[in-house]
Parts: sequence; C-alpha cells; structure tokens
Amino acid sequence: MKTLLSFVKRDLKDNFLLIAMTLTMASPLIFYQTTQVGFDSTSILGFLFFFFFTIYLSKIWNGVTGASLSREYLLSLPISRSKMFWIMWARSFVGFTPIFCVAWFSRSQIRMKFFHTIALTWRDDALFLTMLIIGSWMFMMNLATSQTTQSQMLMSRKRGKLIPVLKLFARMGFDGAMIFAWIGAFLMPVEFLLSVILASIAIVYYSLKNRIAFIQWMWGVDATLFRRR
Amino acid sequence: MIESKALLYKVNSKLILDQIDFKINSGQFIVVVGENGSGKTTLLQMLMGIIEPTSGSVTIWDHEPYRDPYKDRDTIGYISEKISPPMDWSIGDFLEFNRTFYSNYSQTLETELMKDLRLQNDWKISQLSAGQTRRIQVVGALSAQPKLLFIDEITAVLDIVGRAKFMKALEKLRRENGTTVVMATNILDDVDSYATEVILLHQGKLLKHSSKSDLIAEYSKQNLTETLAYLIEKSEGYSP
Repeated sequence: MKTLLSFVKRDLKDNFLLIAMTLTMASPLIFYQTTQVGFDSTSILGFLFFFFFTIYLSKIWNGVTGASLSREYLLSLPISRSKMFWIMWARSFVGFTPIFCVAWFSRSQIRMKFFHTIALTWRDDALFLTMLIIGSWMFMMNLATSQTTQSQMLMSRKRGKLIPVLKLFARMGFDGAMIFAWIGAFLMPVEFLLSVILASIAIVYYSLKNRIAFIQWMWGVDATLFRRR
Repeated sequence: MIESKALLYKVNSKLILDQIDFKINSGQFIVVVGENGSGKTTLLQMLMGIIEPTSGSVTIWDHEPYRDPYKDRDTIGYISEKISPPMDWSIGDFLEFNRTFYSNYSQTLETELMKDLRLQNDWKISQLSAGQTRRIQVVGALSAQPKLLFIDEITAVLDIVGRAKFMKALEKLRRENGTTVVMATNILDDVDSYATEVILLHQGKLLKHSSKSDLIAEYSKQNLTETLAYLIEKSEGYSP
C-alpha cells in the first residue's frame, strides 16, 4: 500500500493541472443539470473523457518518452513484477477519478438526455457506476492493444494466436462500453459481456505467463521478450 | 556471488550473447569492456532481470534475476543511460520518490553526494544537461548503499570533474560498504586505477575474463587501456 501511495501521490501531483482543467471545464454541467444548457452539453463529457485520459495514460504508460518514469527504472526497483503490474493498473484507474466525479454528478442530466426522465433509483446508479468502471477499463485495454507494434508483439507468440481474437473483442467491448456507460442502459449486449470476459482472460493469461513481458506490453516496448525459450 | 553458465541470448536469429561463462566474487570492481554492439548492455540488463536468457543461466546470490527475486533488488543498484528521471520533476522530487523504495537508504550520504556532485534539490530536471541528469542517478543509486552496483556506460556523458568525483564516490562505497561494482564502459582511463577484474566481450563472445594485474602482465603492456586495445585488435574478425 505504501508503495502504491508513493506512485499515486506523485501522479496526482504531476497531473494536478490536467485534473483541475478537466473538472473546471466540466463543472458547468453540474450546475446546469436538467436545464437546456446542461442537456445540450452532455457531449462535452465525452470530449473530456478522451482529452484527459489519452494524455494521462500516455504519461503513465509511455515510460520510454522521458516524460515519465522510465521502464528500466521501474523494473530495477525492489518491487515484484506482479505488484508493479497492479500498481500500473491502479495508477491508470486513479486517472479516471475526475471524470468519474463529473459523470456521477451529471448522471441525471445524462439520463434525461437519453431517456427523457430524471427519476433515478439506486439500481440506475449502481449500473451507471459499474458501466463507468468497465468502460474505463475497456478504454485502457483499447489503448494498450491498439498500437501496431503491440499487435505484432502479441501475435509473435506461438501461444498468442488467440490474442488477436481477444483484442478484437476488447475493442468491440470498448465501443459498446463507451455507448452503454454514457446512456446508462439496462441491458448489456452479449458482445460487450463476452469482450469483458475474454479481455479478463487475456490479462490473467499474460500476467501468469510472463510478468515482465506483460508490464512491458503495457508500456508498449521490447517485442523480443515475447519469444519463447 | 554472480555466476553465469553458458549464457546465450538471441533476438530472432541474431546472437547477442554467445556462451558466456564467468564467476564474480563479492567486493570486486569489474569492468566490462567491448566495442559497440558487443553485448555489454544486454549482459547488464540480464543481470538486472530485465531480459531473460535464451538459454544458459545466470545467478546472483544463487537467485536467477529473471525469476524476479525482488527483495534482492533492495541491495542492487542500477545506473544506466536508459534510466531517465521524469523531465518535469525537480531533483528533490526524484530523490524523494526514489528513497521510499530502499530500506538502507542514507539521506546523509545523499546530502554529501549532492554537495560533491554540485547539484541542488530545486533544479528542474528538464533544464539539466545529460551529464547532470546522470549525476542525479548516481546520487540516487549510491545513497541506497547497494551491495551490488551495475553501471552501464554513463561516464561518457560526465565531464572530467564529474567522472573523477563519481569514481571517488564509487571507490569509497566499495571500501566502506564492500559493494561489488560491475561497470560497462569504454573510457578505461577512469577505471584503470580502480578495476580489479576485466571482462572483455567481442561480438557477443567472452574474449577474456581475468584480473587486471594478470592481464597487464600477460601481454606486457603499460596499462589496461593499451592491453585491451591490443586484445581487441588482434581478435579475429575485428573491423575498426
């Protein structure tokens, strides 16, 4: 926990401006909920989502750019590879905090836009939050699997032939999650559920198979690690 | 302490390291030398557990580094040009972050080294030269008081004063803490008076592993630089 806090503390400090900007830009949505202004500006949330997270996640994952902690530095620390793997995911999720806040406070307005009602039950809230979390996770999966070099790396493994399929589902799931998270739908499509399951299998598979490789996969570097002994 | 047996590393069909065997005892100052592309960095990455050998084995304190003996890394330092502190941090930020991970970290030593290497906590890393950035790494790594230290070609970017101070600090750590140093470099003048053993790599193969004094005596040369230059040139297939 102490180790994770060291990372998170730094991440929040490093991205303070970005977080503040996102929240400032989104704050009118909270005050103008259920009004025409808020009603029409729902799409800002979507924009903020992409705006903030692509910058934030690139900073965390692309350790080779010099803008963040380098991969070799992190791998040389006295932290186990598996712990580092979860730390990386936790750090990524921390980045979603501001958009979670914005989305949560604006949920009635989002709901009104798509369902023309603001009556929310605990069930709606729970579903909305779940969809946000899953949507965020799928978004990260999508980023991690969308680069050409990474795809090549994944496919270069003999046992990794299943991965392109998982990747496809992860991407489809991402699209599905994005849509359904925002509108707070009651029904989840089969495609989305499948993608969540398969993407989870992919994560577990890589974590167990080669922890160093998986950490590196998240950072998108060094394809040579994916060869088999 | 460190033992390598038939260590081989291949990328696709290209051999990067080929059947490397050596044994290193604690407290030594080992210099790893070889022309560019001879496998020095790969060897150090393998010793740090960052990459895994294709075949053969390497052990440090009887543990294979690529099997992730993370507790060992508490006493292993790694200084490399591939490690860059985040550009938007200050020196103080980096050192504060770094020190949380090491149980034997000495802030007194850190202050001493900062003064010696003429660095200040409030300096922004983005405004530093390459040499000054390396000095930060030196402060971070040496202050953790490692029992084993891997250094990958960083002296090339340090100025004359920086190199001298770095070597002095390294020697002090070795003397007081019994630290084993494994340093990949091509600037032999700096290490000539400190090295106790030499590992010479050539095109991924181990050309020589010997104590410095034995090596100089064997080829009747003046110093380490001359001896190694002679050895590399006479090795088969060498193209300058």
